[in-house]
Amino acid sequence: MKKPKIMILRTAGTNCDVETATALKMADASPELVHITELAGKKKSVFDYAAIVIPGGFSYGDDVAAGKILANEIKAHVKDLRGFVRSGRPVIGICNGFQVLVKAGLLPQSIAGDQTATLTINDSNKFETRWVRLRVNLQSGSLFTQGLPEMIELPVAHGEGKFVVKSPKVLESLKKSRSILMQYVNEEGKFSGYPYNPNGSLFNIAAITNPDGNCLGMMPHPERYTSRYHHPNWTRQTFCKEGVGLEIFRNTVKYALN
Amino acid sequence: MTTATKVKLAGNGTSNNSAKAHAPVWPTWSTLSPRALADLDAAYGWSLDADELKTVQAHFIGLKREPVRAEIETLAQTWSEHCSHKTFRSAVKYKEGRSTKRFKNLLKETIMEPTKKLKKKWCLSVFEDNAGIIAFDKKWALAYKVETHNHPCAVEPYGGAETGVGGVIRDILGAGLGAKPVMNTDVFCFCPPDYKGYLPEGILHPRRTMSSVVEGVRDYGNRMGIPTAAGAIWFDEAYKMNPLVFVGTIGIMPRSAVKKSIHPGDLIVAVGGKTGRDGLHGATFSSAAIDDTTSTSAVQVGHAIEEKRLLDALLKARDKNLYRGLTDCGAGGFSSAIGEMASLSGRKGGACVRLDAAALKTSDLSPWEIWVSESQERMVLAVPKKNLRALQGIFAGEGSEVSVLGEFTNTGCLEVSFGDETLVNLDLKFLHDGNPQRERNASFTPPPKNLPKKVKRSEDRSKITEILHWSLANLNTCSREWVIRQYDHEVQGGTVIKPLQGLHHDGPGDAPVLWPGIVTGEVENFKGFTVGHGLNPSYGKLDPYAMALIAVDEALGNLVCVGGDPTKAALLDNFCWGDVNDPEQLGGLVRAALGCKDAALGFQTPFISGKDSLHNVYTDAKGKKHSIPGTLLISAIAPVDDIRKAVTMDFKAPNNPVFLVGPTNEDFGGSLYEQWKGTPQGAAPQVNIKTAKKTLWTLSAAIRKGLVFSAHNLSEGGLAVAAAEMAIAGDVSIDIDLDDVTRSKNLLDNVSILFTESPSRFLVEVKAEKEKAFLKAMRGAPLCRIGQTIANPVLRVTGLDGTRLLEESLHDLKKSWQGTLPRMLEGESNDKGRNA
Amino acid sequence: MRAAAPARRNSGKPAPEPPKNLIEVVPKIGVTDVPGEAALRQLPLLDIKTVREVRISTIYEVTGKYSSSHINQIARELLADPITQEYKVERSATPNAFLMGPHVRVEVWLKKTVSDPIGESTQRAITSLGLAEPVRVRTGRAFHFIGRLSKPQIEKLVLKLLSNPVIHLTKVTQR
Repeated sequence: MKKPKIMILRTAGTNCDVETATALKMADASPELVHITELAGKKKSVFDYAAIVIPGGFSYGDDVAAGKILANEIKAHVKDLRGFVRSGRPVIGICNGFQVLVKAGLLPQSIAGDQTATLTINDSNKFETRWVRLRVNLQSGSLFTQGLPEMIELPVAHGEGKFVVKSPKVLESLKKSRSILMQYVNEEGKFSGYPYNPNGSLFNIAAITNPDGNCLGMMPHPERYTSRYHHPNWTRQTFCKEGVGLEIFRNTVKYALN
Repeated sequence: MTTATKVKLAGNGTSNNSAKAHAPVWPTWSTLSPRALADLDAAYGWSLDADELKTVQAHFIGLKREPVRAEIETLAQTWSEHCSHKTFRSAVKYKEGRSTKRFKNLLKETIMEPTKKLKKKWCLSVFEDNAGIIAFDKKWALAYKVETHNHPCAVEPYGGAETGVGGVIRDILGAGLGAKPVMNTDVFCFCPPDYKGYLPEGILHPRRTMSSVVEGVRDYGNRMGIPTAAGAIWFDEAYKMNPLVFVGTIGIMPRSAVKKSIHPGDLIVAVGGKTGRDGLHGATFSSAAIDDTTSTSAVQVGHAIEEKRLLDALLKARDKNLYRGLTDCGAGGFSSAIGEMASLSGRKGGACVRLDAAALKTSDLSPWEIWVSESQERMVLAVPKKNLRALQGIFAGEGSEVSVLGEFTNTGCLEVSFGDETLVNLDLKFLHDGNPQRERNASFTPPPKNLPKKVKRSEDRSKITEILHWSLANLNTCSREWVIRQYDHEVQGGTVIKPLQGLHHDGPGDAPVLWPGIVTGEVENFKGFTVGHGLNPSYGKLDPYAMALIAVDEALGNLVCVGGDPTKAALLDNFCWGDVNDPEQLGGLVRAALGCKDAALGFQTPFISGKDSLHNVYTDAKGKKHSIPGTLLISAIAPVDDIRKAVTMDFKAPNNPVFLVGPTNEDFGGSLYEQWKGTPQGAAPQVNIKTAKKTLWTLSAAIRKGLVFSAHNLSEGGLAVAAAEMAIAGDVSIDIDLDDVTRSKNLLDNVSILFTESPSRFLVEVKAEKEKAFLKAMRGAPLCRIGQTIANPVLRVTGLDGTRLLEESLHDLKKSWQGTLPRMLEGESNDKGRNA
Repeated sequence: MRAAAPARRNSGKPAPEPPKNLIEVVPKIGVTDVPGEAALRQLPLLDIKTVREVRISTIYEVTGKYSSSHINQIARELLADPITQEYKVERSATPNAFLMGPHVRVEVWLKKTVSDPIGESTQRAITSLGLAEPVRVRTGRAFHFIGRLSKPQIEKLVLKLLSNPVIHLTKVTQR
């Protein structure tokens, strides 16, 4: 079977590219690390790929604001990305990648293509690394979460992950289009404050998609949970599943093949 | 053209439009008196001593010419304590009580000797490169280095911590042909952040120092995408003027990239950041004592993304074999880096450097400033000419600078020019081996032997709960979550045993386990490694020898707990000491070094790398010197054969037997109890290495066989604190019967058993059905079954007389343990929503 | 930049510096200033209890020849987040809206001799807006303490919380 070619878009300060590539390989894809200058210089085109992942890290040090400079470069030099999303191929922005998609105006999707939400400084005013519990919106029908249980765990690691919107209308339309894919919850699956909601996100939002569901932005790191030995409690032997993060990449690959 | 008498030497070496228009006129060296040389040294800030100045003077008189400034700067940098470790490598006459021992080279005869004797095949590169390198498996090797960055962190903690992390990462990039950093470690010694006493002007408050250092380590490490996953913090008011910041990096590299081989004719290529006026005289600054007039020109901030670009480009170039050698531009900048590499070129060594091509931040740098500038994020490569274009292509693709500064030669000389000015023409032999050797005096007064051997502590029986809460909340025991959470300790997807462990991911792990499989892409290879630390300066105040043994014991014990293989463990030493010109201070250092040697030989565990930071002294306004307590950090690294068998420290399930492994004795000198009590409690604990080795090795074998459910190394606060920590982490508690604790006869009462801090001890939970197999595997090692795990969330202890001694809710214990750092660092109203 | 050859190092005066443009980015009214609140929590540790609120803004000093519409473009499209922040450029006269009543403003800048990585990133980022690269970008922060403070208290704040004289320059204005 042919392995779909998936782009991992990187630049100075990208730092989750290697583990994302490993996750994609584990999901039977053929990942390729592509530097933004290769796209800007037209050496490569987004349409050569079946899917695109913008991984985590600190693009350009997150100077000015997290993901901002890379978002501007994409707006200026990778104009095809919008068309790529419209073509229905999968795009995933993880952590810094999510920040980039939001600041480039790709998520939440708006008619004018302008920025309608942002990911801002955590309420704790600190960068924090912790595992969180997430409720997956099974009604969304998103390609990425097919077959996933409703309750999952993934790690977050960020200083600017608080999702806020420009106006209440933006949230309403996210809800209406079933674009809210994951929300932070507590052990009982209920919305709860810090540390369950690690950053103070509006409506406990951890991940959103576009209405078509093929463009995903998420603060948690699925590439850091591809093996059961990634889970913080695997030594307690209370569960034996493999990493749920791997499923998200498998779904991406499965979709890309069809 | 290189004979010194013919070339035009660049007088003062300063450019005409330099900011330093009033720089003193460069004198004629050959005529200067020792006094005048000393004045000159003070004016230029070289930190060369009288002997060294005299040697330099004589060298140039022998050459029949005058030195120029860049030459003296080069010698000062190369001979600095920071670059050459002249104290540790010097001859020492050591008096201990009535006996005298002479060392020709202290370092070689202590720390390095066991490595030579033990001849471990898996030690691939020791004490010669930027890091120690050991084998990982057939294909891969691990490089580990721990650096200190104390003086910069005292003056500008955020920038100091950042540049410290940046520097040690480059040490790993510059080890062999370069390793990919896969983990960072950080160890700090601070004054308590709630310190309320006097601080001289210009000294930052310890709270600010600590927060800023943590932020610096966080911001640099997180941006680099390297998990900061292991460390330690020690608090003592003695560090209020001189905080200590140890930063370490571990990298993974193909075994084929372990050795450098520079050929004459290879190009000298500078890569990474540009050169600016940053950090002039950092090397000599780091060896100088801090006083009220400390120069601040050496302070810098880091630029992590510049270094990330460098890292990305460098590893690509390494995998294409585009260069043959490299090193980091650390202290001394180009002068040290190129000087060091020059000695590897051909038989005689040599380098011919033209600084004109250096990429600069500002154009007003004097040539000698370019030569010794310590701008961050730079490295020097030795590149065969035919590879230059390919190398430039890779670096351009990542947006990183490349400039060709000349070539390596086989002339035996270090020649540096700028335009038609010759800046340096130095004999490499003189540069590297010409510094004068003199014997230093050291003396140590052994601790009194007539300390009380039996102490009754039963009067504190009623205060056990109080002592336990106090111990858990103590700065040296309390939760480090406030710090650890701020580090991205999971980036790269290899941290399979995390620094925070247990049901709610907040228990104090002994060590992390790293699985490089995700980074190498070999996801079916389950081999990993672990890193442990040992540090306890309060033992050092009683006896530095004991401190060294305990530090090694603790570092190895931490590895064992998570499943590391101690038979393949390697050690790193970091000595941070005070005024070693004082024979008493140097004596303590020698004694600690002897402890390291005995520990390494006893455990058969070699040292592979080390570093010392001396002169951590504060001179007050009255001229009185305050040295830090002699501080030894031992870092240990060991393979974990199968990460799927790793173990964490949290109690896992009720009704399992719990064992205390290792011997329990009267060991209260330097203990937490001693601090609580406020009266001296005797000598520092002595590690019986033979017993310790038997204990550690046997327990390790049992753990690696999968017979242990949870394991925790006992340290500060002894049995009581360790049991509380395991219970807090697991939300499963324990019921202990103190009468079941096998103990030495002089351990008289409940309080003593609970709080003694005997080394080489572990608390171990075993699944009920594996108890027999465990006991069989542990044959020959000291152990006793002291109780069992319980579901009820209360810590329960039954005393020697059979009555209930302690019954305390885990929730309350956890609160004591977790509250300290946030309360001291975050200010008011911080507990809203915390630990909900 | 390469080192100029020695001969050229003496030649004539340097060209005059292009103008410095100041852009200040402020949290929008109604948006929680998280770093400001964290700074506020630190004040009791310094025995300062008269401050009600702390607001922090970022200042960018962009050295280069730009029209005012270009400066506004840099501020709008790069420096200020459209959702949570607003900006003002030097010449706009309106004071920050939250500055009613007594307050102290402390500007903290890195000394010229200290490199400014955020400034360097910003400098490069301006080119992706289709504008010429500035000569230099330096960044600073402005802390606004709303409440009454005595001179010694301000000094304490500046030295113990906001800046380190080793690497920073500060400018205090009080009303």
